Amino acid sequence: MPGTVQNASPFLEAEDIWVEFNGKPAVKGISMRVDRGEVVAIIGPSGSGKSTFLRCINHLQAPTSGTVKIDGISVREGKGGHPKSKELTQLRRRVGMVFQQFNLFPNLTAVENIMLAQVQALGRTKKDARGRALALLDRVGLEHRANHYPGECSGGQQQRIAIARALALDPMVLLFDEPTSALDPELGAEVLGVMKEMASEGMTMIVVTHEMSFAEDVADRVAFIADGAIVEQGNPKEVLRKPQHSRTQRFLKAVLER
Amino acid sequence: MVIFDIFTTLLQGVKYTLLVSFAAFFLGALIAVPVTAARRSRYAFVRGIGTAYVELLRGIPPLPWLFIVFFGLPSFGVILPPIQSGILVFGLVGGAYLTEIYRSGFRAVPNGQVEAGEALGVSRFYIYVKILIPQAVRTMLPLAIAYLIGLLKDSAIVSIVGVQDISALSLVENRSSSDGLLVFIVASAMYLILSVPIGIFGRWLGVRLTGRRKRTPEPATVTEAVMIR
Amino acid sequence: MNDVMSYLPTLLRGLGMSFLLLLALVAIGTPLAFLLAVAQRSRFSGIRWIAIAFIEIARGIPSLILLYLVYFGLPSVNLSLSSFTAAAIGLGINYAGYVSETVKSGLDAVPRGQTEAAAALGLGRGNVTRFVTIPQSVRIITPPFLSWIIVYFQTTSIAFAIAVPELMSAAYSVANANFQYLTLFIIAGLLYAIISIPGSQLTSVLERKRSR
Repeated sequence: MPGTVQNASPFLEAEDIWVEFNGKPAVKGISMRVDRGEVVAIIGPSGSGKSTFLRCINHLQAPTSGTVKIDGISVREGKGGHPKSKELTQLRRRVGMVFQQFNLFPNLTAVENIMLAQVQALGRTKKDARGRALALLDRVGLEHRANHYPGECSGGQQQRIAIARALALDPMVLLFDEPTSALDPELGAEVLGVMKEMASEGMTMIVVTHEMSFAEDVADRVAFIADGAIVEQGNPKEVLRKPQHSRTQRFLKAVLER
Repeated sequence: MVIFDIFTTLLQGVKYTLLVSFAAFFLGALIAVPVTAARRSRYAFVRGIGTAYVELLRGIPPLPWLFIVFFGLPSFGVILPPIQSGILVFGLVGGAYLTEIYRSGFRAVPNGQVEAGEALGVSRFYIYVKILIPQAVRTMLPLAIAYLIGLLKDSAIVSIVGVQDISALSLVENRSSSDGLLVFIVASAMYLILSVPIGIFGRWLGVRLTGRRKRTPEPATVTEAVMIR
Repeated sequence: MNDVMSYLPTLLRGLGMSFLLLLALVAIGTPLAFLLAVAQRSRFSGIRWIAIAFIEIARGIPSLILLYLVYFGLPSVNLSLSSFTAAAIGLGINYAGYVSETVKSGLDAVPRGQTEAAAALGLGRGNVTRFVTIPQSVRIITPPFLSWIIVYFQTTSIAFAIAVPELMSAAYSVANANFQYLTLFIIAGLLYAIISIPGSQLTSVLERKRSR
């Protein structure tokens, strides 16, 4: 039940995230709050830092400064600047991630890909894990591919398997890093269909994407990032149709002319 | 038949050639595990130790190492017989080369594989066991087999300190025979014959381990191939 | 320390001989390697097979046995060579077997469009190889080629076995006189390392530059 309590303390909160590569800032103080069940689309030119920011949320990229808090859990720095591994693991189990290049494990079949973390990270029995994996494959329409290796599946199928893999840990939030950029439009549509369905079921999602129609139709909010900072954000229709900033206008014009 | 006589004489040396090269290979394969771990450590100091090991062991050729161990260690009271000296030296040197082979195997696995494992909360240990090693083996295996075949040939120098392998026996046989050239041709043929089944076994093992999967491993760079020889 | 100074000149003379042997084997082996690489790309299958057989044999035999074969074996067919010449030829053949593969992969890496363009200009096959393919492949070949030279610098040490007066022989003769085996072989080893380690660092820098 959405209520005032959650508004006071957001479900996911990234505060003042900075990332530097060799002294050059790539992300310059981005803050973002996401409520339970909200779908946020992040758009922006390539190299703007949007993927880097997304990777900070589950600490695949350690921020130079700033904190990420998810449902009350945050990662503090331990000895030697490395994050405390216990907190890190806790955080990552709450956050699922889907990558641009799928990153399925080619040495494991589809069902084994989905079982691995359930068994090794959550300690489920193999039988439970398999049952759950098959149910998830069914949900993304790929039960018949269960015993195939990723190399034997199309790109769209691989990405759907990757989504099922991310869902297997019952994450509280799913991160998508340009999930359709490596796919041609037809296969991308399969993946977007699955994502849309998950959004309608109330999954909290943060999606870095170039798919403006997905941002407009599915997202609750669109954030435009350029040069490592959020330029503007808000209702998708407003940001995409009537952008306030000239930077946003230029970007959208370039995208539409393509 | 002269060839037959030479062949049977040299056959006595095959067991020592095989013993030294295989024992050294397994010793090296073991040594390379901690050295590889050191070279992939997050701590610069530990990486430095790993790098120093690899560079030093490869920077000095095997023959000086062999002489250091065989002629030099006795001044510390450590006396190793020829065979043990040979196995130790080629094991230590092999550890350095196999470290590079292991590393090139890991490098050939895309970084996204580790990230996907981390994002799923899989521990570092299982990322290695379930994800990295099974994929890296496909790159490592042909290189390791090539190294073993190289070791079979390079191990010939242990004859210099007195191991009675194929090379040592061919030298003795040459002195007592009027067909000096023939002796060495037969010895050469024996090394060739020994390396063929190893190559075939390697290919068979490769197919067994990787046959069902389509993705081909990235080839090692040409210079890497040189280092491994 | 005084001791070391007293025999260092002997060791350095040995090192000089090692370099001389390296120079000789590279001078023999490099043209042979190019010849074998080009022969492997020949139109005539007979030539291709001869080249492949030569390469496989040159690489399949231990370098030590090749040295024995040339130095101790050839006299039985009335061909006696000095130990230096025998080492240069034996190691040169061995080296050519390996380097020809490097050269071949360099030649193969030159895009087809280049040879087609040259052929379209009316250049004959030989001239295409000579003026287009080889010059372009040199850039690709250089780093692994340098690696091979370092490998064979180290391999010259086994010429000890046929009594070429190179670094190992020098160290061995000094050690036999003063019984300081450990010191002598460590110094000899370090002399090899001082040259090979920076050498291999250099080639990996070159290779990284090239692949960029």
